Amino acid sequence: MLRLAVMEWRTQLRDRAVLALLAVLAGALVLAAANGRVLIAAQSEARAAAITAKAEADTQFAERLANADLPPEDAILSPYRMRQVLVAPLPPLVDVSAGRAALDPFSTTLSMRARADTLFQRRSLDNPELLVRGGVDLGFVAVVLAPLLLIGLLYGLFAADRDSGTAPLIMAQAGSPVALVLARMIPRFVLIFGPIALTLGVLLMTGPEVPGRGQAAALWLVTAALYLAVWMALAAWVHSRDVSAESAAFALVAAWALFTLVLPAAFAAIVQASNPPPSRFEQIAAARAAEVASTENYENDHPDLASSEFQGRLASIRKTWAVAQAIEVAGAPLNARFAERLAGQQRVAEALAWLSPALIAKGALEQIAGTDAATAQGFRAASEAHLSAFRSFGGGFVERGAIMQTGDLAQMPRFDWEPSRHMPWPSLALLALLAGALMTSALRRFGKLTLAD
Amino acid sequence: MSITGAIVAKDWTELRRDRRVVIMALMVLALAATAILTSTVRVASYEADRAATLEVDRGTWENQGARNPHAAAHFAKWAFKPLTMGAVLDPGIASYSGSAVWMEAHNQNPAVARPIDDQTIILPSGEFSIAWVLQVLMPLLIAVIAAGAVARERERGTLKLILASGSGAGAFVRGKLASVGVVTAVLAGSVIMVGMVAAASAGPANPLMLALWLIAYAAFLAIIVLGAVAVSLRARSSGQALLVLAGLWLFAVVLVPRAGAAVAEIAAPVPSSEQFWADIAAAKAAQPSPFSTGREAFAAEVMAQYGVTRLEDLPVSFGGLQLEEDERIGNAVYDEHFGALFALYDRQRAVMRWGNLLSPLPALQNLSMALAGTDMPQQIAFQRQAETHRRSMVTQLNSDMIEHGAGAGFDYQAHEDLWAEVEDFAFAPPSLGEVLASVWADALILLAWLAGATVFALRSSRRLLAEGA
Amino acid sequence: MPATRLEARALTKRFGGNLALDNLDLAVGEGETVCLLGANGAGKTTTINLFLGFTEPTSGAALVDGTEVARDPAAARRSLGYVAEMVALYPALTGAENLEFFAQLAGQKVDTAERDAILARLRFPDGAIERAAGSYSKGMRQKLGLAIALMKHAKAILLDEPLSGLDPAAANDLVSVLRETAAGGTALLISTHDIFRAKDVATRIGIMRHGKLLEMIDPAALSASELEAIYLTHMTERAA
Repeated sequence: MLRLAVMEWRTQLRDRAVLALLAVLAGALVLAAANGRVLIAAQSEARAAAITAKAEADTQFAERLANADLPPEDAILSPYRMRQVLVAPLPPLVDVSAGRAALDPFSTTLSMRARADTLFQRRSLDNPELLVRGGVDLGFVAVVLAPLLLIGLLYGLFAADRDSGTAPLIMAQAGSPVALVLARMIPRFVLIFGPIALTLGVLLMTGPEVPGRGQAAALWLVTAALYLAVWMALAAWVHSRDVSAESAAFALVAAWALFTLVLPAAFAAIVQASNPPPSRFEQIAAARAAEVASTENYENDHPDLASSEFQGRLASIRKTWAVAQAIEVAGAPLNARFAERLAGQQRVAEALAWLSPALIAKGALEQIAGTDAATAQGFRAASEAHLSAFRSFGGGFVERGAIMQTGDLAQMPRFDWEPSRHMPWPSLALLALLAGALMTSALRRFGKLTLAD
Repeated sequence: MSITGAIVAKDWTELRRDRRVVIMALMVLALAATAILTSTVRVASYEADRAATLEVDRGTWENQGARNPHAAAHFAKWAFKPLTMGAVLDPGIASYSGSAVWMEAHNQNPAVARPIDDQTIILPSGEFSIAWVLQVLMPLLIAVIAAGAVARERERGTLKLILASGSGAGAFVRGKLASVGVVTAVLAGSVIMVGMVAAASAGPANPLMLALWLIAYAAFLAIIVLGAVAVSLRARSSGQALLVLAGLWLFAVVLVPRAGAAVAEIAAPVPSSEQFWADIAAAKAAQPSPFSTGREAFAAEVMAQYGVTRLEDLPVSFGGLQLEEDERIGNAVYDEHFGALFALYDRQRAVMRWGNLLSPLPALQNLSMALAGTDMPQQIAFQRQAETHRRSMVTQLNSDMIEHGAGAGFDYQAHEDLWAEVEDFAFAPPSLGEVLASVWADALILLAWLAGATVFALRSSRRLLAEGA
Repeated sequence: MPATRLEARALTKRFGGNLALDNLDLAVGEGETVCLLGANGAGKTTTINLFLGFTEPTSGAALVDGTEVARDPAAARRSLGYVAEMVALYPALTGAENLEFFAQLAGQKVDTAERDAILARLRFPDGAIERAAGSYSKGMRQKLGLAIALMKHAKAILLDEPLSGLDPAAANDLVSVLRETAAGGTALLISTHDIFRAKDVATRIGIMRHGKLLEMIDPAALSASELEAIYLTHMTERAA
């Protein structure tokens, strides 16, 4: 069989159509690698900058508290000078499966003025025109491109031999086509999967050190291989039926379109319809109504200008704090509804994803890469929870009219969120089961193949 | 019956009996219907929502009572981008772009509230809409239908029979183009027509824009039909034609637009938002602020202008003047930075246009979004108009303080009638002429592709002539 | 008594309501050449397909070298060579590559000297083996098909109308190699409707009609007029 596989390998590389397919794959991979590197560099740099900003803010604030010369009318404003920078850790394979990385926030700056609903509002500079078209990452190549390219390469798996009449001679010579079918699948699989694995290797070697990266990469590779194996097994299964090469190609292309394009599109509509998010406009208007109802004065925005007296400033920040709390209370139900609807969408999306191997694979790859929707939501939720603790801490001083001291710093809530890294074992098991079942069924049929019935 | 008519009738009967094609066509139609339904609901609820919010917010604004105009300028107002009827046809960048701008004092804010932030699912390829069905699925369906158009006749040997019947290769090819064209027109036409009706009923429609939108898609689908039939003319077997077409489809429809975006990202990277805002803050800090470092000079200038020697003698509010000066300084900084950002978006678009060398789709996407009112230039127009409105609103509030707040400092409170005088933001969509000016290059590119596809089909049919002879 | 290579025991095949092969009993021994003679639809190709396990018998059994085909078709095929009426090859591969491919399928390595000897015996045009098989004439394809079967060193070779449509020279080349092959001990089962070629090559001729083996005759004992009589009786339904 090995020699047959070698021979197949040679004939594949001589075929111009195969070379064209491989050129498309190579182009996509170069782009995916370049894009991945740009993304991970940008994400690392932005995180580094955020961490520097965090350190600066921490030092500045510590210096402020340590400053014995600070007059009390200034020192009382300390809660409103607190800055905390929250940074989500770099996902281990953000350059491999970008997932939501280009869309979702990974850092934000907290102050007493920050609000849960506006915490991440300032970061949308990316060109929507680019976002809507989507990028090319290795995950996209593995989930969308690779299966269709493999289907192309597997055109001559066996059905074409029925069409051309070489099938009887193959059976007479080989006993059964099983060995030949395997010998044909293996080089084709390698031709598609090999370059993907190679590109992953390049990204690993050129990318930064991220904890858990090597392990994640190994699992990513296994998932991608299993997913590709599902398509190979499906192709074998279709070719083991009594169909022409054209019908086999048609069936496989249709299955690909169904699982990769049509079902995800339909599911997106279902997910949105099942849990439509509340209106962001309504949220904005509600917060404003609450704000205007509880504030009348300019002080809200410039407490230092309102008065230069200790008591005046304390009154000013107390007012500000009260307003902020009123807005928070007013906005809380709507905020909760947003969170609830997003969680609801997530549940429906995860349930529906089981119906499409493409979505199973995409979800699993992103989960491994740490760029899935659940992780992004986890960061948002943790940030919002932390904001609440942070504001309560600062608000306590405002309410007590106490001046914050260096010793109080130890009590300041720290943000130490780590994504809960669930490995997608059920998805992997399902892909393996699917590939195994289809392949077994296909090989069994090939083993018992008849031609003249 | 003419030869063309005979071929169309025969192919139509064959396709109707091909269950696979019928199922696929029904699936595409069902998806299109779902897309129309969901987009109509989305646009309608968005617009209802926007109207309700504007109403509530106007109430909040007008009833805020007497207060300092600058406090009001901090509270400020919001600009909400309307979703036009075109969004039913092509939502364009709507999901990925902010639809609300806070027009507050001191700050030019970016557009926020991107629908994508409240969506968990991202499709592996594009956003679900009629435009997506027509741009992505329809070409694949055409490929499936056209793959066998000539190749299957050759495979079965009926091609020789037809050519031997004396009908002529030219007539045969015309017939094949007509039959694939008719099927495409029926399928895409029904989708487009229902979409147009839905769009027209969703709000006021510009019939000319709708007509141009239709023409753009007709041209795109014609390119696909010509190309697909040409491949079928050249292919050895229908299976091979199907695979070649599926490969071309994957390349031109799925890969190229994404690749264009990926290359644009690398060629013209957008700064991180942290960097962008830090640069703006630094640029503002570098200017002498009329509140701190530049206060002396500004005060001297103002006093000279009004011919007084003490600030207390000013007939106007010095605080108001400070605020206005601060705005002036800030606006110059924003003009520069946002100008550079928008220029960067333009450069990215220019980079993506190179993708048109490999696929007609990016050009069609640009045209489709532009005519639907959901493209980036119109988003930028919205943000620019919101900024213009912000400036005039803030100036209006500052002027009130300047005129009436002399001596009162920030304790000055404006009469509540002032709030009603501040106009609501209303987005003025670009005219057809402006829209076309932003996409004329794309229209030319699409025409060039159409010409190229016609030439390719003609050359391919000449091969058939040789085969017939 | 030579060893039996191919054996049919009450072999019956029904396609729907159509009885394609009716209770066939047949044995082909080592070194023997049996020609099945009959019009289209007589059951010749069905017999060959049953021996190859391409289709399963409705009842009865086909045995190859003692192995029941339906029970282990792969094992049966290992002992068989097969030449189809239209030998199909991979047009993009050269003759040599086709040969190598099919030999590898059979788990064998091509011995170039042996290959060249076989091709020479078949009068395969010089150098043509390195040309793409897509350019081959029918005669060349049939010769290469036989070469593939011979290189397998099978105990029995099944030939389904191997000579139909060939020019006389090519047919003669094939027939002479078939005779040598049989003389070497290989069992041959050939289906044909060419009675004169059958007489030329066969040790026994089976006359088939409507799925039944009507009689077995010894070609050596046949006169020209008897041949003509058989032809007129059994072959005139060719178009049916």
